[in-house]
Amino acid sequence: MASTSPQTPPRPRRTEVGHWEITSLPEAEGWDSENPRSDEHNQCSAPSVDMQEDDSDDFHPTSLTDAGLIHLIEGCKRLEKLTLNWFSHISERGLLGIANGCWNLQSLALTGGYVPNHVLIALAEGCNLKELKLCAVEELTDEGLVEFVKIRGKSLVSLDISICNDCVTDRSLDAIGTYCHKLEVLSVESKDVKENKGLMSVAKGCQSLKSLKMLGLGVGDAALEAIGSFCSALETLFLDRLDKCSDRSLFSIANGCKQLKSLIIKSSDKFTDKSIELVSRNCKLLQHMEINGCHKVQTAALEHIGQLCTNLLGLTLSRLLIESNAFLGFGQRCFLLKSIYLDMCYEISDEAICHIAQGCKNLRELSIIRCYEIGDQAIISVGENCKELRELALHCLVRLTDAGLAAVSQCSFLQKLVIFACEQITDDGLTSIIRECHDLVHLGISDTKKMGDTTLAKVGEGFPKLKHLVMLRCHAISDIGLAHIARGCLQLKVCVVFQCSQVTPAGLATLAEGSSRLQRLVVEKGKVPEEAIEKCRMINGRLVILNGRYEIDVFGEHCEENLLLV
Amino acid sequence: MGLLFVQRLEGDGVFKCRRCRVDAASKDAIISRDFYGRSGRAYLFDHVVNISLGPNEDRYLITGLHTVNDIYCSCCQQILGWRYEKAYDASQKYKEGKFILERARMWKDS
Repeated sequence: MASTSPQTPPRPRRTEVGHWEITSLPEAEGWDSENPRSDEHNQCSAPSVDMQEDDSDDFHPTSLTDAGLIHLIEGCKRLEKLTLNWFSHISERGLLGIANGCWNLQSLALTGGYVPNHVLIALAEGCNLKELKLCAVEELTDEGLVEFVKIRGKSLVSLDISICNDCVTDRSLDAIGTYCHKLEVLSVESKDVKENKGLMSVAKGCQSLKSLKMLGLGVGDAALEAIGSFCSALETLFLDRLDKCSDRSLFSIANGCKQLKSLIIKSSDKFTDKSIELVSRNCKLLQHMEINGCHKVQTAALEHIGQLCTNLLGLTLSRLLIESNAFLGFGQRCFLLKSIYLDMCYEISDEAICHIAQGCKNLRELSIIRCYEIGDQAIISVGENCKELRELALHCLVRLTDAGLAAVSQCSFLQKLVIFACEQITDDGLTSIIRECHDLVHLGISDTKKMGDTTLAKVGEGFPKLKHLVMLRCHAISDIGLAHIARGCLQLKVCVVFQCSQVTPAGLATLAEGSSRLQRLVVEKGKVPEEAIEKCRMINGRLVILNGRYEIDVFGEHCEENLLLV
Repeated sequence: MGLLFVQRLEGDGVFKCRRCRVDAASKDAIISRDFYGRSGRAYLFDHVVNISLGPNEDRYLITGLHTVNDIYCSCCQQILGWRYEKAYDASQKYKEGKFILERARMWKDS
């Protein structure tokens, strides 16, 4: 935010300098009418401000400083939600300004800056906080956190702390249990919790807990047993890398947490089929289950899930040693299943997908990622059986051919289709889908030399409602293909053209001129020279070209969101 | 059991493991600040110290298929980022042998 004179309140403005972004207050030019925030607020009261900045060595003239932050606070008396990301140029003066000026602040998220203990205490005293999130902050220790919860515990509803050394310890967990009786959401990632008593205190003290997320804590079965005993309101449980916890932990959850709707367990060598069976049997309200990297959870567990989880809506299975016959009869009991995500389950074959497709006729979302044995037969079965399908993602299916993919045209309600690294698919692959699936709004293709301008010509003609188009390393696509998209896809909002070697800045400019709704065009760094960026900005005032290098696992969680929202 | 040999880096602007404050890399070794990893911003470094390498893994990043090794602080085993063992797209070869340190995992000694 450029410096303003002290008399003028900060003018809402959206600024981008390199990889900084200061998202402005409402009523800035160019807010999309679809953006839900734009209608809600007036100029001086911004419920939510989100700031992001660089932490490079040199002080940049547009770094957010204490003065800028204090101006902001003076202008937004009713600030309710504030997020600061990488705010290392802000000192305690700025943060104390928040404590002194924002009593109405309910939600505060701080990532990557300095927050000494006494500052957190001042924020507790000065702001009526209900939600606090801290990530990678410096100087804060468990002492500060303990005092914070002593003061604010009575109103605190949500607490999320990760990558903060010496903050989440047995001592501070104990304090949370002692003072935060209204706590509903707790998410902690810490290597400093070594015993059980802190979490046991949380269990006894926070009996309203609805959502518990723990990563890397050194707690054992006794602590999870306490959660099972006391937290009967628990709806969401997320466990990642709890190396000391065994089936005993999950037995207790199964017996005590009957309201459980969502269970996510990751990276455990100790959870086995037995505990999945008991959870499936006892937690009748279970709607979502994710099991990721738990090598002892195998075929039997899937059989239990298929038989017992009658309310299941979503299932994610990742890096598991399950065989095709695990899905035999799947969907007979859990026929409400709407969403299935399979990733790196190397043993499953077409047969498994056929069982799933035949059993789960209500399926809306299906993702098959890096299950290398899957081929045409599986996708044909999906096309024949899953008529309600809205989203389909197929990644690295090297056996899939045009014939198999064509069957998807029978899913006439399809809205989102992603075909990444399916190397056998050609320009013919999408023909029937384009003919039949008129509702498509999101299309993604990657790593192909066979799908090129012909495909884009067909897309331009056949998908007038397309809003998102993602193309990564499509080396057969050129400016000609982009011109087809520019002519035909007039609803296009976001386009990713990443590492497509034959695309030139001229092609990107044509795209920018095409859809007046285009808001984001993502290209790799160096693709577009400065002059061309300016031209694109002038054509469409809201156009943004981002040149970041996103080394995110393309099959990882939130990858698509990251790509579309960066 | 032997002593753990810890390398120290000269000069200002040393990036250290956030967890145990052992030196990891010098700011002079930064090739690019433009990267984004699992936990947000990440920097590409030419040279890092006091790390141990995990096994080779094929990972499909947005920039394409790569073989990478996760890297861990050799003192406290905190995961810090990864190293590019191999890139399969010609335009990405420049990263081979280089290291990504995730900003959230680092503490900068100014």
